[in-house]
Amino acid sequence: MANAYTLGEAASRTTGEVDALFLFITVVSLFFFLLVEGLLIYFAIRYRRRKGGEPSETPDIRGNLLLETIWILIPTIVVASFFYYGYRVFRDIRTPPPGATDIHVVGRQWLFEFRYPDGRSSINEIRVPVGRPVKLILSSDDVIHSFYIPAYRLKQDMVPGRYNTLYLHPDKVGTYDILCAEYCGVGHSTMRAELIVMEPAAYAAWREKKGAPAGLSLAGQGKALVEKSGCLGCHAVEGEEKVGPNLGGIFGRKVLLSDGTTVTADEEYLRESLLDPKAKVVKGYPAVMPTFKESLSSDEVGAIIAYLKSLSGVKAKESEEEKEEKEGREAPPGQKGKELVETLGCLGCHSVDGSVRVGPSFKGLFGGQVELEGGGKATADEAYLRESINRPKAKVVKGFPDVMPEFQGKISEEDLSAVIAYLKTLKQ
Amino acid sequence: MRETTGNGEQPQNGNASPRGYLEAKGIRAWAYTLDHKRIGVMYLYTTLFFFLAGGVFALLIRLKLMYPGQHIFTNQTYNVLFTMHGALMIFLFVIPAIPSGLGNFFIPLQIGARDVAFPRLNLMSYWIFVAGIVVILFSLGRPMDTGWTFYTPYSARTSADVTVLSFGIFLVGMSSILTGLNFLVTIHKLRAPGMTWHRMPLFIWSMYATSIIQVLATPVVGITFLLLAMERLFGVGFFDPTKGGDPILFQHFFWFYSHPVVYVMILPAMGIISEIIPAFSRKPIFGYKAIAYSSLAIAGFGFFVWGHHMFVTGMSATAAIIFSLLTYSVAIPTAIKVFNWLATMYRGSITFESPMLYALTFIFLFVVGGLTGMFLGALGADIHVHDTYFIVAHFHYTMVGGTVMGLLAGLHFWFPKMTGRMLSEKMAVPAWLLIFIGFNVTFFTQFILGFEGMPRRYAQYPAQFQALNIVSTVGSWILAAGILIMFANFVHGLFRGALAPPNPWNALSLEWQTGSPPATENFEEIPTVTDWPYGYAGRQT
Repeated sequence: MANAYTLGEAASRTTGEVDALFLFITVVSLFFFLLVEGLLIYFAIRYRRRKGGEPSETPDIRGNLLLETIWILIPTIVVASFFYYGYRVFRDIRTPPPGATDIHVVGRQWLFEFRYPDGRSSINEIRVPVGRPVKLILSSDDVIHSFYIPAYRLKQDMVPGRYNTLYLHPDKVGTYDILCAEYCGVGHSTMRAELIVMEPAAYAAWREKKGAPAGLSLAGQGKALVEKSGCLGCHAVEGEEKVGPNLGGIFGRKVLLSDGTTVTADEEYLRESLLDPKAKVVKGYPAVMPTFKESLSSDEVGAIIAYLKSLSGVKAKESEEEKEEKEGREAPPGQKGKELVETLGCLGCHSVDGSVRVGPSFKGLFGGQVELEGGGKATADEAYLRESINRPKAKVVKGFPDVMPEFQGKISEEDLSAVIAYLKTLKQ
Repeated sequence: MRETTGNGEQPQNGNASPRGYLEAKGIRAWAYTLDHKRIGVMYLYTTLFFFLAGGVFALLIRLKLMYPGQHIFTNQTYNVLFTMHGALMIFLFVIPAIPSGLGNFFIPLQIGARDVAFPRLNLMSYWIFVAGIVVILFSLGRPMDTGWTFYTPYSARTSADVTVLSFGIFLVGMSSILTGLNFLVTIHKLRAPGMTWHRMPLFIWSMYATSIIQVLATPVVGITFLLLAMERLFGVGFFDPTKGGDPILFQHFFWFYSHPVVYVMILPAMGIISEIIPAFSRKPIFGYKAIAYSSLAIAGFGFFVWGHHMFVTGMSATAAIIFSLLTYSVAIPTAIKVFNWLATMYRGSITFESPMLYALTFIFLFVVGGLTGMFLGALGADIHVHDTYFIVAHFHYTMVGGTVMGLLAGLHFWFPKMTGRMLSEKMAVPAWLLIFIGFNVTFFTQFILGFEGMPRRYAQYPAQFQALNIVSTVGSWILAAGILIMFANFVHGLFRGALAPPNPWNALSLEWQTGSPPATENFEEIPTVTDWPYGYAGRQT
């Protein structure tokens, strides 16, 4: 994996383009470096005052218009070329590739969660087939993070309250580091994930093995939410309009706003319209829609947008390819707790493989002895874990920062028991 | 008048009193002084103290980074260390050291005035600065862990004492505004008879441009920190998206101040270099007007490039492209200065005392800092190295390689004038060599680390980066050794240095035409200026 960082290994189309830009600036800068530093050293030696020699005479040179014009013009041309080349590469990075698969990425202190169009999600690991472009829709649930793939030479901030996009062109099979590049707290430097680019056949086999996703597709979840949240009271899917615009075909359309400007109804516009509906009202409709800021989580907003997209015929490829039926399997013990641990963000700080991150690892935690901050010991039994999840500040394990948020009131009794049941399964 | 000192040396400082402005002793003589020279000296002591404190933090940071995992310090301690390193170095050392320290001391001397325009305001600025420091030290109870950039929403949510620290910086900013205002009026109104604008030393031009930025940009950061404090104390959602705010707005505010302020840091250093290069080349400065006006151009353009700190935040592509173009416009006046310094050396008669060694080092390192900035202005390249060690290396080459080398050049140049004693060249040269080598070993490696993808502010890092990090840490020890020897030389010079003549470097600007150290009133009689201060041409002996 180390060689994923070295020059010339085109992990992605962007790698080659950015490296070529670096090479160009390096060569030109090196020329000016050698010129300026060379003259500096040459003049220093050539015109040094010799001891004991003839007294030297210095000329009264105060300026030279021609020279000064030249060294204004030449740097101007050089930096203009840097600007233009940098702009060209930037344009390529920002141009949406056709047929890209949408994947939502949510940053949390301190993990990356990936949500695929078929409803599946994963933590700190994203798998994509080689050769097919990917559109990442980036957001954050807490503070600013930054999604950085050094081997692709790409980076984009993940900002709470807005969507940013990043296009990937996975051209080469391999495993690449994803690093958080915006300082986000004590777990910042361990907020890392992996991009796994697979052969299409291997990718299909992996999906086969992994089985059907546990629930509905992302668009399916969005449809359920639209029905549940009362959207259909004002928005028809198609046919005769109700109070607001129809949902069918809205995505990707240009809409005229009440202030006379137009916007494209992309992810960012729809997200804003759900959370702050009065900001950009479509012309001809009353500004009566309530905000869903309090009632929809960022994951749910993403699901609704995926549903709106599917209504516009922008169907996520994945979900079309495989419409497998949900299997009514019996969940193994701890399965529900495992899912909760993943979705609640516990894995941002706690590993399940024994490695130490921001907090103690879950592996072997249950039933063990822990040393507490301020002296004393405790057995990590059910009561202790229950207290540590509800009110983490009560008993902090020695050597770890006191940063865990309280879950009291945020997690139901039933879910709490499920999480503890899962932690029990991690006992060695 | 000549007096005999205890060890029989003849003081040659040209003063009525051999100790000049340093005659009066005792705490009150300093704390209540209205003398710009004493105030400048107090600023220098204060800022150099924080230079050393920030340096200790830097050494601890480098120590931790020898290992990729959790070693020596916890990650949280590391986060506090890099925050304090950045905040102390920027706000209490790099910004105030040259303007408030050397600027206070030498602006009135160089323009032939007896003091600054508002001496009482000047003293008040200093004590506001000290008040700010006291407040900042109070925040150490719950030390800051946000980085010196205070990005929201993290800074609005962390349990660290952001409110108190930002209030301290607010006060330091107040002091900076008042000092800038004072200098602007001083330069406009108090120039000696005959000193037209085009006869002013270039240090004065650069301080003039600096003061404009201080007065115009600093209020913005003050307001921003007030908004941040309101968000933390009263829950007003300026920047918090869950309350309708915008975290990116904070970055716009912050960089609207913090980008121009890098020119507050570098312009005065460039002014010092423009004094030293002609004096030690014994040749007139080349392109006086180009250098003078390029300072103003840098100050002006500097206000319109802040967006290049935000290329990956998701700002609109149009804005990013415009900011990229504007960013390159700052490169031109900077290049002009470098070429003019080189042309000044051409056919000179150059000597290499310590001020000149540091001045040449400034040019050498600043060129590296400037050229690596070319990568960061190019949109496609910046996306890759943004927020990596490439940035860390780039700004250390400009801020340490540039500003600090300029400050050290100025300190070695003006030490005899400020203290009345000479520094030892025997100590100064090895110290300079260690600083030069140590600096490059420490920071050049970081360009490579950054290009390879090591993000900044990482307490732990992927193991493949360890080798270069060890090299960088060893470099930091060499750098520290050089700085220690240099400070030993300062202390030695202060107490034991040979007595300085009024003009040890045979320089032509007005501060050298009075005693070393100068008398309290600077000049017995205000000089009349008939020519520019760079008429060095002629036979050298």
